[in-house]
Amino acid sequence: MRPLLRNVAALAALTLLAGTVLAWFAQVTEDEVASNRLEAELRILRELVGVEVGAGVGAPWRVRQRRADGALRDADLVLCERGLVVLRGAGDGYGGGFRLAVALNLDGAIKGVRVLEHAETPGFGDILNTPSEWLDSFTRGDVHAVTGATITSEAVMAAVSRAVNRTRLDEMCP
Amino acid sequence: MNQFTEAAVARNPAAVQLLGLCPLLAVSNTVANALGLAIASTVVLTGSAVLISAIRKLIPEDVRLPCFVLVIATFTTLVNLAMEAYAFDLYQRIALFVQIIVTNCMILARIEQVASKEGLGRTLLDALGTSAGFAAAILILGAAREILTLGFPLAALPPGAFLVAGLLLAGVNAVAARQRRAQDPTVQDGPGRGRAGKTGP
Repeated sequence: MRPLLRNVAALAALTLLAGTVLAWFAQVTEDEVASNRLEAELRILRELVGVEVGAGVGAPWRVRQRRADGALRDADLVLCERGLVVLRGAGDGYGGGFRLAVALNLDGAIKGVRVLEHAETPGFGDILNTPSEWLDSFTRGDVHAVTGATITSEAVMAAVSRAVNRTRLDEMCP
Repeated sequence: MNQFTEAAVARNPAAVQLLGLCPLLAVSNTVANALGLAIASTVVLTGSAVLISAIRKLIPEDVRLPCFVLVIATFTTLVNLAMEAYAFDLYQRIALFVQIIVTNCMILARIEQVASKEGLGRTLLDALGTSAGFAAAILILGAAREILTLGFPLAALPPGAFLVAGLLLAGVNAVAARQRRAQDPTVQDGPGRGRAGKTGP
C-alpha cells in the first residue's frame, strides 16, 4: 500500500474506533451525569431557600416547568408563606451560557444569588462559585464589576436585574 | 533494577524528570484531590500504553504522534465521563486537571519511548512504575501541603505549591547526592550529574 493511503487508513480506523467507544460510554453514563447535575443544583437551591425543593415538573416546589410547547424550563419557586420567591435567570458570560437563581424577599430585597451552571474560565470565573464574596454583595445592593472578569460580572449583574425587573411580586404573592 | 522500580524511582516523572508539573502543583492541595488525579493519570497512562503497545505494528511511523494523542485523548475523556457519573464531588473539584491529562508530556514521553517499541509486559511494567512514581510524588506533596496548612495557610495556595514542591525537590536532590558520594567518594557534585531536571537515561 502507498504510504499516504496507509497513513490515512490508520488514522481513519483509529478515529472511528475512538468515536465509537466514546459514543457508547457517553450513553452509558448519560443518566447518571444528568442526575448528578440536577442533585448538585437542588443542593444549591436548598441551601439558598432553606426548604426541600424537588426535581421534575408540577408543584410550586418543583424546579422544572413544562412550557406550552412541551419543552422543560427552569421554574421560579413561589414560596410566599416563607416570605420569599426564587427567580430564575440566564445569560451569556465570557465562556458560554450561565443559569442563576435569585432569592427575593417579599419586600423586594435580594436575599441571595447563586449561579447554578456556568462555563467561565477557571480562576477568573471563581467569583461565581459559592462561597463568593462577590455574589454576597448583591444582598447589600452595592455591586461592582470585578477586575479581570468584567464581561462575566457584568453579564451576571444584567441577568440578575432582568430577573428582578420582570417580576411582579404583588402578583406572585398577593 | 527492573522496569517498574526504574520507572518509579530512578526515573521518577515528577522528582527526577520534572514532567507533569501543572497538575502536580495545581491538584496537590489536599490528599483526596491528589489521590483522584493519581488514579485518573494511572488509568490513562496504563490504558493508552497497553493499547498502543498492542497495535504498535499497525501504526505508521509518519502519523504515530496523532495516533498516540488520539488514544490518550480517548482514555482521558473516558475517565472524565466516568468521574462525572460516579464521583461527582471529586469531578467538580478536579475536572479541569483531569481533562488536561491529555497534554501531559509524561504520558506522551512513556508512549513514544517505551509503548511504541516494546512488548506488552515491559510496557505494562513501565506504565505502572511511572504511574506509581507520579502518584507517590503528588500524594507526598498533597499530604505535606495539607499538614503544613494547619500552621501555615499559604501552603494551600498556589505559591505554597511552588514553595513546598521546591523544598521536596531539594530534599530529593540532597538524598541522591549523598547516595552518589557514598557509592563513590571521588564523585564531585557538578552540573548535569543526574540531578533533578536532567532528563534522559
